Amino acid sequence: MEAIIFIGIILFIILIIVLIQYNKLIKLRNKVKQAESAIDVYLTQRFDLIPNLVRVVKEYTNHEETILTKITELREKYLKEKNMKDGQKLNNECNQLLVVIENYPDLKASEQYLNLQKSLTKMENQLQAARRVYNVEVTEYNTAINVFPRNIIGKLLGFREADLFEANLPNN
Amino acid sequence: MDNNFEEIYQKIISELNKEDVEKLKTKKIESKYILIIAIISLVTCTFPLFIILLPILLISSVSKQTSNNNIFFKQNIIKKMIQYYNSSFIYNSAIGIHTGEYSKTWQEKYNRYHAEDDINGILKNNCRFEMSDVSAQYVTYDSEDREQVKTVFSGIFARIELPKNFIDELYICGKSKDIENLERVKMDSSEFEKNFRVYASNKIITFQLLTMDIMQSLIEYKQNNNIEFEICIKGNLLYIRYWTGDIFELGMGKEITDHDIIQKYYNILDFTVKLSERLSDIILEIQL
Repeated sequence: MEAIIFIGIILFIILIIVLIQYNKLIKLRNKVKQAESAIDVYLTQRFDLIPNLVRVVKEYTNHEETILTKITELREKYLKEKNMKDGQKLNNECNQLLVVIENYPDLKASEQYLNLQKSLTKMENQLQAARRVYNVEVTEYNTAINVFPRNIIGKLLGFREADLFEANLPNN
Repeated sequence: MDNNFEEIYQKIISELNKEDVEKLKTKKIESKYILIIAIISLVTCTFPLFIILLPILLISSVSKQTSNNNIFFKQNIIKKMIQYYNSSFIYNSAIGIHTGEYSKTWQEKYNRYHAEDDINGILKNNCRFEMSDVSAQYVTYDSEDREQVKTVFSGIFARIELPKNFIDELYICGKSKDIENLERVKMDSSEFEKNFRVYASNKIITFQLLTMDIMQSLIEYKQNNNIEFEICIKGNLLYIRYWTGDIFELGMGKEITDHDIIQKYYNILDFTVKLSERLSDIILEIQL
């Protein structure tokens, strides 16, 4: 009888520990999701400027159809699926377009483009900050699920490591 | 900013009136004589009388001399250094930042406040800048009516008006400090996290403001100068405080031309000005 009570107490303590650790992991995972959705908000804001950008670029250039079409397609895909990797790809294409625009002095000097560029730069700054916040949250979460006893609890309850924004990606 | 420290230092030294400096040194020698005479008298005369007279004699002599040195130091060294650093800065040893400004910053209780040695001027982006030597204490009385003084802060306190109102609150504190009612923001630099704690009302703006460069400069300043400092941003106001003690007052036995003391003050001024200007540039870029 005493042995059963003893085992019962041990199991109860383990259950409490599991619950506390599980709640901590949930909180950390939610922070990652929150940071991810902040990136999504800033990406969407930045991509809302794309139709204007495409229109302005078309006015001044004749040979950039390929990149403009690619950007338009990627934007539609991103708005439909909200995939972070697509968003990143589209963001890189946008930055690529800004580099291409350097070859068109008339376009660069136009008031419409200057205003757009200002907004795009400001949004890129916000995006960079959001990515840094995301990486901090992911690092904390990944560290938590790799440290004992959370690594066991994490594996049992289906917590998976989150991906960091890679430093070697352009504009990261 | 006009010159670097070494240039400014050499300029100040070369312009010093040698006679005045000699006079200050003579007074130092005089105090040595008083000490010798007092010791001889102590050996030859009655002990109880001189045990009372000696400290009085010494304290009055040393404090008079220190006071003269301090006045000279402030008017001929510090004032000049500030003017050579930035000719538009104004130094006034008699006034300081008002207690109402200090009380807006760190969540600390104090009931005795004193500020002096004020510097003010305008920085890049039209930011108004003010810096003072501040002492804030919390005074209580025990059951026998004896005063208990706890120093809340003693050092340099700076207030800078930023070009935009961009965040409700942001604190960069030392490792042992907690700020109530604000979320701790972990930064993406392990070195920075080893030295500071950040509390803020908005994470994204905090990361926009604390770029890798800014974080690195905060770490470097702290490590190179071995001075604890804290930063608080509220709306469009930036406050920085350095735990230096009263660095405007020369300690006993310190030369008025002491290179290290003057450089310490220069470094604080230079760091405050440069940091404020860099932050104001970033703030102008941040979308509100």
